[in-house]
Amino acid sequence: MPRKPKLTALPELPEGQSALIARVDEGLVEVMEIGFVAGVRVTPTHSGVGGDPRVYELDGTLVAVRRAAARHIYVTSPEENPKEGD
Amino acid sequence: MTSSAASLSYPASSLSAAVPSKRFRTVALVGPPNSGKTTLFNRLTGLRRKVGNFPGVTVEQHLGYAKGVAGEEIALIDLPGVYSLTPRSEDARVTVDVLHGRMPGTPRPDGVLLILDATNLRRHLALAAPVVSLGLPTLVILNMADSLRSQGGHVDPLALARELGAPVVLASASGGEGLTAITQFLSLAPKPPCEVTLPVLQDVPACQTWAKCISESAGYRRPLPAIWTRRLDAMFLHRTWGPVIFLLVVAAVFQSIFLVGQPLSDLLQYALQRLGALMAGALPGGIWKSILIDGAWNGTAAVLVFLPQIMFLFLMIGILEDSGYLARAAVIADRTMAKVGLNGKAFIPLLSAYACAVPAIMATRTIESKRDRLATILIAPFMTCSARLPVYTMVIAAFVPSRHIAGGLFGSRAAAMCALYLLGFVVAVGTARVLKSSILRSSDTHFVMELPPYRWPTPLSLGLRVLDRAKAFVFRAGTVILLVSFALAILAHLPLRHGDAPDIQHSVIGMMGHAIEPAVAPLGLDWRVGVGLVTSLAARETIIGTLATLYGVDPDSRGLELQEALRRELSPASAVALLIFFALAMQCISTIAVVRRETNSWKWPALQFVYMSVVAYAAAHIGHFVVLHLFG
Repeated sequence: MPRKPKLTALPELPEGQSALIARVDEGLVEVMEIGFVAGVRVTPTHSGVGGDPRVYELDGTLVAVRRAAARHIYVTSPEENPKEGD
Repeated sequence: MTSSAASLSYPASSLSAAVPSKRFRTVALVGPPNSGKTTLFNRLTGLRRKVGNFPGVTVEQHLGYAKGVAGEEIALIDLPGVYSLTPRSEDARVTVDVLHGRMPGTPRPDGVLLILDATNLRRHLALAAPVVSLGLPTLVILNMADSLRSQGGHVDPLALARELGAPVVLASASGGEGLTAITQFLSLAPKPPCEVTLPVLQDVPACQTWAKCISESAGYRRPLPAIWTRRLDAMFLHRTWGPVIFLLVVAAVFQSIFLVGQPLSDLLQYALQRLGALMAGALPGGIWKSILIDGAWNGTAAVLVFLPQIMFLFLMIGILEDSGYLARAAVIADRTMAKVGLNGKAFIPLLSAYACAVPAIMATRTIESKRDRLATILIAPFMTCSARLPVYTMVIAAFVPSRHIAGGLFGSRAAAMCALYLLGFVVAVGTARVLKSSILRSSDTHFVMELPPYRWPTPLSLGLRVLDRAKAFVFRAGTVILLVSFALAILAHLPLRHGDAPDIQHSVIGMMGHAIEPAVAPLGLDWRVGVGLVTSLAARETIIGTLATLYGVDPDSRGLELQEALRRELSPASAVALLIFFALAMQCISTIAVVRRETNSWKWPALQFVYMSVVAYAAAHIGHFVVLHLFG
């Protein structure tokens, strides 16, 4: 039986590492409508000054999200991406 | 078979319906933000269009006319960009109301053009579910098909048409692809979509999953990310260079309004003065000439001269927005704006308020959150607009001796000017904080924004945008200014004595000045400044003309330069009070009118006017007191 994956809040996902969205808290309709739904791959690409807001690549498009909203989005533990490194 | 006919893909069952029996009259354009909806609207309608406001809301109504195959006219309504038809934001509510025929004054559309970005199809398709479920004849337009192909993407429009039960066309609004097919659709007999299985519309994840499934059935292959967007974003969204470039862009926009807009403004002013002189020459002398030319015409012309700056400002904003940079700028500015409690999108209007609050307030339309938009509208007039400059320049030149400070780096007069700019900014920020933590508190707004790929702005879109704004400025602000100037001019000539105008002291305006005097006397200002404050309600710089006239007719100060007269009549403390009052008061009828129009109520402009006047009056008292007791 596969191990239950550990969930990470989206703001904790390191820049350049991609992960699958696992869950989005209730009530974040605007965020979901723009495409943040379970099963979609997301990659943080740029951070503003002080790390907020952050720009994410979501299914080929760039979307900026404030931390206040992003912390309600959970992703599966980031897969190591050998090309990007640390 | 022509290529346009081939690109209009109908679901098989509706192919037989190609004989028009009745036709479309009104068709609504629906699509997510950045889907190229407005570009397509511009392409289909050209100049046969008008911009208005939907009644009761602050959302703009774009109505235009497209030409069908036989030259027949079909009304097109460009609706605000939305991701869903859930009536949550004002934009979405308008979209839903128009589509259901519940918007007063707007005919119920008998068809829909659903515009989706083909390079973003998987996410954008989620909007197709609620739109198709409306049951209105719908054409699904996959816009930016050229980008999809050039970046290695693919979609089968016929397969997608089968899934959606509605015809699908690949198009490119900017490149002109698919326009013939769209025109054909508009000329065909309206036919509602075929029955297809749709997800539960309220379930957002279900709609997204459905969109993903049908895009897969249609053989959708996502295009590779645009390489230039990647490269430019590496620079524009860079942690260090991004903000530096941002500041340079802001400075360049600001500077270019003065560099390019100002000479054009001067030219227009010269032309309007010549025109005024010509009209004065044609009129017989007397009261009416004085009222019409010195009053109404001069007052209107003083405002019309800002037209070049306003057009230039909107051209710059248009280039920034259409190229895709504005979205990046909003991301960079968001951090600072968040500290004050505002949305990142508020920074462009606030920036343009340094030229004039009127276009700035119109530019707040890009802010989706109603409360954030209102807060931005309410603080925009605190930004030092160009109309304050003549007043500042005159009073500072009269009272601040020219000295070098900070080792010759700054002039004392420039420093005084900077202090006034800073004063306006600080009060604006303070007001925003107060508003956002009290009556305009909002916690439900999440700053979520799609960053579109960079594109070249098209001259057509830029031209139409500038033209729309110029028209709105000339017509709406122009009518208000003309009426007010006319009224003021008449009041300055009444009551008539033996058919002659009274001297200004005894005119209605003079009496109003004396009525105001008790309020301004504690600041050491006399009735003439009081009259100036009244006339400057039309436009701030009017006070200069007013004071020049009033001091000019007074035998005591006749023959003196205005600066000299001011120095003689006002104490330094009074001058400081006057400057502070002008920095903070809402002395501008056009701003009041535009706030009234944009908020669709008198409540907000009234509140704003009272608030700004009270703050300005109180701050003027403090400034007067401080100068009097510390330096006097």
